[in-house]
Amino acid sequence: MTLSLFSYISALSINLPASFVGIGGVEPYVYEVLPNGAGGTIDASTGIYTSPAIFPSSPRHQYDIIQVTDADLNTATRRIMVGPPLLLLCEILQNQLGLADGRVYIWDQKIKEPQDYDLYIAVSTLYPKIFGNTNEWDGENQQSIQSTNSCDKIQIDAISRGPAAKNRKEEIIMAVNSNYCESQQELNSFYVGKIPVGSQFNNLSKIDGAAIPYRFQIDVNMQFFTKKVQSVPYFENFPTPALLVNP
Amino acid sequence: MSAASIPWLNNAKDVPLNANSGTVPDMADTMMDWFQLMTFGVITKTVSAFQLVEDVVNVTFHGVIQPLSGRQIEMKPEGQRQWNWIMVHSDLTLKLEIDDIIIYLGKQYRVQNSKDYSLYKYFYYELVEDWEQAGPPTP
Repeated sequence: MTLSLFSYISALSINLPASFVGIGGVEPYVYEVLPNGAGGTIDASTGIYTSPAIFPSSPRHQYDIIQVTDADLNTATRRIMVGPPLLLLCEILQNQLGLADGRVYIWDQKIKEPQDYDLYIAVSTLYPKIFGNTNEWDGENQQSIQSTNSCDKIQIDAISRGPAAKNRKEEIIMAVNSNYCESQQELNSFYVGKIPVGSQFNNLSKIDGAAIPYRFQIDVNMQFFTKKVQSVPYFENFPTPALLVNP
Repeated sequence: MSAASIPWLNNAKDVPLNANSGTVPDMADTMMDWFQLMTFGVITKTVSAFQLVEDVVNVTFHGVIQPLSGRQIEMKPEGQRQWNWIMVHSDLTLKLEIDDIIIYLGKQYRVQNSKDYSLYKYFYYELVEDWEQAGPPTP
């Protein structure tokens, strides 16, 4: 059986574990993270991957590529994305609608409109609203524990030159309500509100002209925490006492 | 010398453009006498991990740039007349679309007008110096 690498998880927030398992080939397996990725680490023997402590600063380094090598030196790879909740939501949509890379994107005026016939999903953040902003002091460990609790209204647009946006827009609702979405929320500590019955897609078709005939837009609410722990060594950096002597 | 012995002159002005049915004048040789070798840094946009990634791809082509005439600039929308407009005639190597961004001699320009004369073996572009910097390229 040909060597392959399996994981249930294809996207992750920071400081979280994910398990990778080699299948086929000849045991034992050795796992490694290829360089120039997001910066996560992996246990070479168990395949337990840990995502980095901070989010990657460039989209080019958003993925870590995990490689498994078997006893015959055959290799297999699998990628995992490390990103904040907005990117995790994009990955959920891509995963559940089975779209290729590049077809789901965060809306940006610098991105060109779709040039081909099939479906594109544009995700934009509308109103990031802060509900909680705390700074708690952990005296024992001399740490400041800060957290914010945010609620973002996310706009999701299905866009296509062909009829795909019209025919597949309901899959967006199903993606947000999917088991995969729920497991990702649980794993990464964010919450995507279900799109309730009675919600409506805004039909924005044709307002961009004949070039993009179909465009359907719907909003979802996403709630998430951000947390930062910083060491504040109040009692460690006293200046050396000096004897003041009058001149 | 009698009139009949004068060689017949084929004057180009008497040759209509449709003299060869289904064709247009091939300006490639003529344009090449005018063109020089130039390099534009064309900024390309792709999506990586759901986000925009910009690269600069150097495109070397034969072409020529000229400033737009005062009259042409005057016909531009209000507020854009003071900006630096240039027109570019190029060979078919340089393929730009409207709103593409290029870098030439350290200045950034945005494509505002694109005319496809590829049947005549050249392209025509109008570029305006861009005040919104696109770069730097995504690291």
